[in-house]
Amino acid sequence: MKEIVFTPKRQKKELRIFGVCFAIGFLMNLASIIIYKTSWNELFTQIGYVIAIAIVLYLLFAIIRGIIKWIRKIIKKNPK
Amino acid sequence: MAKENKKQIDSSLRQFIKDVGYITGGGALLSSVPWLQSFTPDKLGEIKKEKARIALIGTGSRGQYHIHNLLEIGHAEIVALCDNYAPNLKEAHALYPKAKTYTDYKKLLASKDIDGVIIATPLNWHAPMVLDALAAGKHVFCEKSMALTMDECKAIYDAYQTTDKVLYFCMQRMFDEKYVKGIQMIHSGLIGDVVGARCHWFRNHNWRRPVPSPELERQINWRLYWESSAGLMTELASHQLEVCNWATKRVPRSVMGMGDIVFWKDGREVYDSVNLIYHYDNDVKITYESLISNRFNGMEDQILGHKGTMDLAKGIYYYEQEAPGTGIEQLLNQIGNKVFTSVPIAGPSWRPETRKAYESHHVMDGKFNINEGISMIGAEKDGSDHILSAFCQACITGEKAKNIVEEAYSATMLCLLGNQAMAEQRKIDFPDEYKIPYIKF
Repeated sequence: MKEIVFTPKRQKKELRIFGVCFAIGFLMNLASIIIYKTSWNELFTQIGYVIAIAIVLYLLFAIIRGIIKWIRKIIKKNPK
Repeated sequence: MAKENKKQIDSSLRQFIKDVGYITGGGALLSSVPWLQSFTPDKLGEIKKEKARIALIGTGSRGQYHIHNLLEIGHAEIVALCDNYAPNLKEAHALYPKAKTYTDYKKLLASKDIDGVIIATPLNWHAPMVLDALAAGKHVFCEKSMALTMDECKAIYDAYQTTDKVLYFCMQRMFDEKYVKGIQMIHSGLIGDVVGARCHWFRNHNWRRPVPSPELERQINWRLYWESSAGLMTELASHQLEVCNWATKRVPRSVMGMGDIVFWKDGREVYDSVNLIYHYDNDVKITYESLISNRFNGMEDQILGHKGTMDLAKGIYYYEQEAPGTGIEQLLNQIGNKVFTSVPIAGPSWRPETRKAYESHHVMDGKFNINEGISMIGAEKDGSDHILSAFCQACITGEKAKNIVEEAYSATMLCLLGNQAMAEQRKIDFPDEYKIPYIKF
């Protein structure tokens, strides 16, 4: 069985990616408050939505990264 | 146990009056329910130890329903029962053996030991009995509708103008908390301008009662014959038309409609299916429908506003457009709509407008009773107990309740005009000779 090693470097990378996702969610919330002219309180009260958006984006990125990694692996295995 | 019940019904009426808008110390009730101004908690407190001596004329199923309610009203005492149909009188007497029994209502009215009478007889007896009872100096509580003919209604209204006695008609929705709250919300502008009303009452029942021998058919199944009944209109529609007038604060000027015996072709004379349109002067219309051979749609009293719909029978309202959510919710909805909604080539106006699921909002917090419309006698806690309790208190105080007679008069007139429109198959205008000052078109 292959051992998965979650190095500190990898942890930092994942946290950075999640941070970017959270920032995107936060910016979406900020933009929606400006666009729909709703209360600034929503910056804090709607933090649940921001976290949910961050998780969805993170999972989406994880899938995309997985696919890219898988394609690279195939290319590496079958060099021309 | 009985004592506990008595206390319960008293406090229930007091609580009801408070709940619907009594302002402590101010002595004022909201303008939507002027008939409750006679029942403020201060006034109710004055009659704590007195009892109204009540007689009941008509001891059939509805009469017995009233006896059950009266037995729970602490400030009422049943002193007499009257019926010309012995089996009903016997059953009623078994419910309250202390009461004196009569078979002739005129003899009952001659008794000096009676403060008020409750009339729960077939419709054709309402007018003679109400007029005789008022003339005999009794306070009167009569079942709806007011009377069988327009002339009789006018005679009762005129008699009421000259008497100092209390007169009630059992339009119990006027004392049903969910209706009172719903109407208050309509008057406050919650659903915007009233642009229409849709009322219907569907049942699947032949409306018959078992008859022990054929000669009693017309006496027992009085609802089915024109000589004693005005059919679905006075038995069912009267409540709903009253609610429409209450909500719109006006009375329709004209009516047209069609009535037929569609299914129950069993020798009855009154329609088992009616469809009518009542037209107000401001062009708002009531669409009324009743059918007793299919119950799919049940009973509903819907007041339609340009911002929302109030379904008074269920105590629920719906907004045409819900208040927009938070910014992020709106953004996500917009993204979702763009991704998942397909717009037909011809544009959004061509989308099929099948009824969508609206979010419902209740007019009251907590649990409350809803009349399914199935019972022929009366639903539980539909306001009948409160209006009866209020009448008994009025028998003690002698204070007339505002607008109850006028509301009953307007609603009954509309029912009878509806029947006339269906019989003559033409549009009928509210006749000048039956207009009363209360009516605003």
